[in-house]
Amino acid sequence: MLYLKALHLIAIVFWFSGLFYLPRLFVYHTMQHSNLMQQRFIGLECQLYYYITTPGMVLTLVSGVILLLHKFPHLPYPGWLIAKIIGVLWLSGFHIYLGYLRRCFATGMNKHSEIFFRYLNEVPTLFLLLIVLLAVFHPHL
Amino acid sequence: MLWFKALHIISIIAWFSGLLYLPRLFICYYQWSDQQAQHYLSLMAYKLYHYIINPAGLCSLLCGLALIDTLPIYELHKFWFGVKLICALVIVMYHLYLGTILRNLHFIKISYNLKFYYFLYTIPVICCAVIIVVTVAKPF
Repeated sequence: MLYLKALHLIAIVFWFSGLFYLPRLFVYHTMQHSNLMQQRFIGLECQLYYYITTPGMVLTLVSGVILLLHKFPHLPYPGWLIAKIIGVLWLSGFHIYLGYLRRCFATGMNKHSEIFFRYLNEVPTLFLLLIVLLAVFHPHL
Repeated sequence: MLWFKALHIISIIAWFSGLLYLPRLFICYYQWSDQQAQHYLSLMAYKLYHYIINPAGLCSLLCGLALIDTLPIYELHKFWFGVKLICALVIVMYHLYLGTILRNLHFIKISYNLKFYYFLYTIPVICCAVIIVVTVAKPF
């Protein structure tokens, strides 16, 4: 089980490396005006999303669910764990939303400004803080 | 001490997100040869290195040092701890090496070939995996 926990942490590192950098790529993408540069950024976003971020998410969720079933076989779950699960679900929603934005960029339908993506860039940081603090401190909620 | 542990984990995730992505930007710099693209890429790489990788790396090292203080002495003499220290050292050297490439970005076309950059990728991946496995499982 400890090896599974290690795998869970490694997958989290990969997942977040994508979640942190994808909105950053969107910020730079909105600044591009030439067709060639736009095509290049679409390629980068596609690679980052499908080869790093999504496999990272799948591995994180699968290993996380197995760890959950192993460590907490019976309901009710403690409060911090429920809060963490809710955080992870929101984060997965954010991941899917990034995929939607990526498709918008790839089809040339992006309507959002550079500022919007700069704010979006801070969202995974908040989730990371919340989830790691819950997992380390196990507060009574 | 749990605060240090949490901060250690958070800053490591931020650190590796940069360490894993920076070589990708170098590869782009290698492949996209027009001036406009290279201007953007050097800006992106500069920001990633100085605003994400450097502060996060410093923070994870300092928190790591504080955490060593909390380990019982007998753990420090075990093999896993040595392995972890060596891997951490390799990561720091890799980090500094990326900095030297960044400073010489204009010359990298002549200095290295593309395979070298794909090889660079494997260093943080392997070190990250080894460090996490030995820290969590403490197998030896």
